[in-house]
Amino acid sequence: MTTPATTTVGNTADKPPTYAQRATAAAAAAAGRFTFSDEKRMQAALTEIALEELERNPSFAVRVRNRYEELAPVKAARAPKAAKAAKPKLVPIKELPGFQLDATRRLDPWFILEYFGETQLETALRMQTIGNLREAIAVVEERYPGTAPKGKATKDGAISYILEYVLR
Amino acid sequence: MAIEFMEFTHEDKSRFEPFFQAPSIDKMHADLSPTDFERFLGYMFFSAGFNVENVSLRRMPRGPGVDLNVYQPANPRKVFARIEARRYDPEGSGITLEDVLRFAGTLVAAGAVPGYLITTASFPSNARQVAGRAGMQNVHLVDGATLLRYLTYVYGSRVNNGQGFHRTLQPILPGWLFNSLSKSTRTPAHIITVANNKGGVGKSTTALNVGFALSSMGKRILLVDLDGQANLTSALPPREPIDPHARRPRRQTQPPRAPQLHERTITEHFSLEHTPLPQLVQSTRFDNIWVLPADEELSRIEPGGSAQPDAELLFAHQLRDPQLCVPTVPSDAVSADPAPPAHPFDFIVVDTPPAQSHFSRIALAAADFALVPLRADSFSVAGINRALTATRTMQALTGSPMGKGLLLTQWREVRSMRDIQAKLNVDTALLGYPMFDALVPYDDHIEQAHISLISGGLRNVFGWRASSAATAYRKVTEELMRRVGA
Repeated sequence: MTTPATTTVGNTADKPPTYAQRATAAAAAAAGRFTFSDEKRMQAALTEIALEELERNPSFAVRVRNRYEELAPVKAARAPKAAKAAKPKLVPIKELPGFQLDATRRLDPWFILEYFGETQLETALRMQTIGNLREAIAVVEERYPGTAPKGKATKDGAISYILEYVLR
Repeated sequence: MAIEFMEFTHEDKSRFEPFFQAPSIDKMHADLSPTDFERFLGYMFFSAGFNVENVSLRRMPRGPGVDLNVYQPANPRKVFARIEARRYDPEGSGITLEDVLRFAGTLVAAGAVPGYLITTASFPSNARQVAGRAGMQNVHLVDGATLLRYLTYVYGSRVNNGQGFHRTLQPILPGWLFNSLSKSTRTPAHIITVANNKGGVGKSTTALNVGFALSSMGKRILLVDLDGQANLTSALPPREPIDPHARRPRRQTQPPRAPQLHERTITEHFSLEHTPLPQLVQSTRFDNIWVLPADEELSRIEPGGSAQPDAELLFAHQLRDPQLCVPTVPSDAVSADPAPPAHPFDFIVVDTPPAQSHFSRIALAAADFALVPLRADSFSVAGINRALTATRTMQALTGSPMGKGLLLTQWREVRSMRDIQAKLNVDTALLGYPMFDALVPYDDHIEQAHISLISGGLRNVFGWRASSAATAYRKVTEELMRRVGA
């Protein structure tokens, strides 16, 4: 069905009609249909009847919603953003029935190696904070005493140390 | 002859409990001899609330010719079911049709008592077909996968009996194992249950804002409030009749009036009246959002979180019933228009109470997707394991696939939270509860929106352009839709 707004409001100028202009044009078209002369009174009548219909008729409500969406101001298209790299997802290589979450458990790289495999170990380590990586360094240090990097480890330094000893 | 029920020691407990905590057919087959497997099944039925008699040494014709007899405590003299245990190699050829026919013959000879043939292996299809035929209704076949479901359900439904053992408060009849929920007719709606037994993690806020985000995408949403605190309900007051002649209230001088309350609530469904759910669906002030409201009386009829498989499955069926549709507005008496067709909901979002209650369990039983909000702190993470057990328990009950995801809420960019989040990325992948990419930050707009909604306003968190929580909930909802395939 064509709408009064689209049939009576020709887009003669460059600018699209304002909401007020559309409402006036629609009311004028409706008033013309009834051969009524008071367009403002017709506009009020249309709005009130529409409100009542909105309450009782879900499909009418859908039409109103759709038209509302159609009338949204058109924004100038923006240049597309550079695609953001998707967050890596870990996929376990075997199950551990009965496993429980524990935020206080130390990050154990051998545990990650066992359940996520060699290929995902570095990915899992890259997800970690430097605080968690220090815990992992301590776990490695327990197996290989005296090997931990001296001073404050960077994230890259911590990961390469852990990988070096865990993948031996 | 006096019945001698099996008694279990703490040695049995320490031996058998790992099979409840981490059920594994391979481990069962590797660690238990055939005799051990019989005793383990005795322990399993004891945990499931039955009394168990070992009759494996009593052969036909003087004995029943099976391994175990189980009795309901309320009727300790009448055999409730007979159990035959077969610990077979899960990878081997398994049980044959002849084994099943022999078991059926034994049951007939021993009297008309249902029998369960339980194995760690599987059954051939011809044996399954035979077991369902006329004259064989008493024969129930429990394969390894079904055994794991039963163990998981029993594990998540027991309480300490005061003597160091965990048992269910009522015997759990295994009959439900054979009626998988996924086979039943169901609503096309995706059912999302927001659950965590810990309070204050943002369950109602998440249910509400996921509901608003979905409705803004044009989806028809039913929000179900199963929490007796009724916070979700209070944010979704009923639609008031619109007076087109009323003047718009001035913001500064006329605060919104206190909203009306819903006249009917879901308490009617769970009380003696048993009102069908479709009669209790109420419209709200928001387009595309309906509610099954709660009230505080819901907490008073809470029957507790122990095992009630029949009631749990019943609610899952009712929420999945295709008749649970958008309520039709009665057409004008003089209008000749036919009644509009019934529209199914696109999403049903269920809010649950804190604690492991009956209402949390039934909500999870109905779920296609369990959305678990969580704060990134050590207490919350420790507590989440109970919520995850409840999810596994109810999935074992229904036998239906259920998506799962953890959502970090009340997020702040502080070191302790970042550390926990990073560890959870690894641990939740192992658990099969992948984290949502989006984090819901602490945002004061959430509280401002609650105040607005509860006091009768219409402004939800999406009404603030600068709300970081609104942005996060939009992302969560988009991810949720991808995960459920909507």
